[in-house]
Amino acid sequence: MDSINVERICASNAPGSLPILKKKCVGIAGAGGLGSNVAIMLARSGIGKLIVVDYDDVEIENLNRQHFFLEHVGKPKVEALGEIIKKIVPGMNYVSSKVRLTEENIAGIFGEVDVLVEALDKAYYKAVLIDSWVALKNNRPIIAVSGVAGYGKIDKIKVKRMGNLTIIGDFESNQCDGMMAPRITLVASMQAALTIEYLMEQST
Amino acid sequence: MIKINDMEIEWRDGMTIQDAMNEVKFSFPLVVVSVNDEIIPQKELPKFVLQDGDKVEVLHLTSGG
Repeated sequence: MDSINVERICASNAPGSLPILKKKCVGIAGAGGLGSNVAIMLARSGIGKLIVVDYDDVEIENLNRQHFFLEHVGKPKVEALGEIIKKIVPGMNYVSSKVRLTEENIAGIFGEVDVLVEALDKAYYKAVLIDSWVALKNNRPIIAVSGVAGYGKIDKIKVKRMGNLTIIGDFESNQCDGMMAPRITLVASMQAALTIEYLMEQST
Repeated sequence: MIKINDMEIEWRDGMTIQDAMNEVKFSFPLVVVSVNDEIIPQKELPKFVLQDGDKVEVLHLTSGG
């Protein structure tokens, strides 16, 4: 194979985007349905560095919506995600941590990121992450999700902005409605697209 | 007058965000709230006193991801 470098992999990306995005760092809290898909999309977009945090191992029930393969079952999600990213964009700087996020460690783990993606599953932890990030008063964007369960009803998905917080979702559906790939990856794509938009705006 | 999402309610001296949410019968267990586009931490909701004319936005946080 000819030499692999990020410039060739990203040759079809938006003109002028790679020189900016390869200098950027994005944090992803959670490597499940949202986070694993967002991470892959950002890697393909030429982001220079990803910091991904998740506490869980891959389970077979995750394969309906999370970007993992059968061979990853039993492995930490952050480790499996690193292996996949290395097969797509080998040179990307991927930093991961298998820890539980708390009010106390959020600033230390994500202090350097230009944009933070909230990709957690429980509403309580989403609230803790949002509060902790806003309390840092760094004015850097956080892109969160509320209401991504079930199927169809894509016209119900909204993008709401409050200060440096953007929340995407229908604000109604809940985990008990079932978690399916089409809606989860749709919203993950919206998070990734907004991340790139915010990173490009930071550089203008 | 306080604007809370698409509703308008009468402002009272000392009215907190929690009071305003109770008045419009918002009972979501977890929310993100902003006042005049500034996000207010969860712990502050029962204490944060609103001023006449404040614009409050409340978003419901649900599980799933």
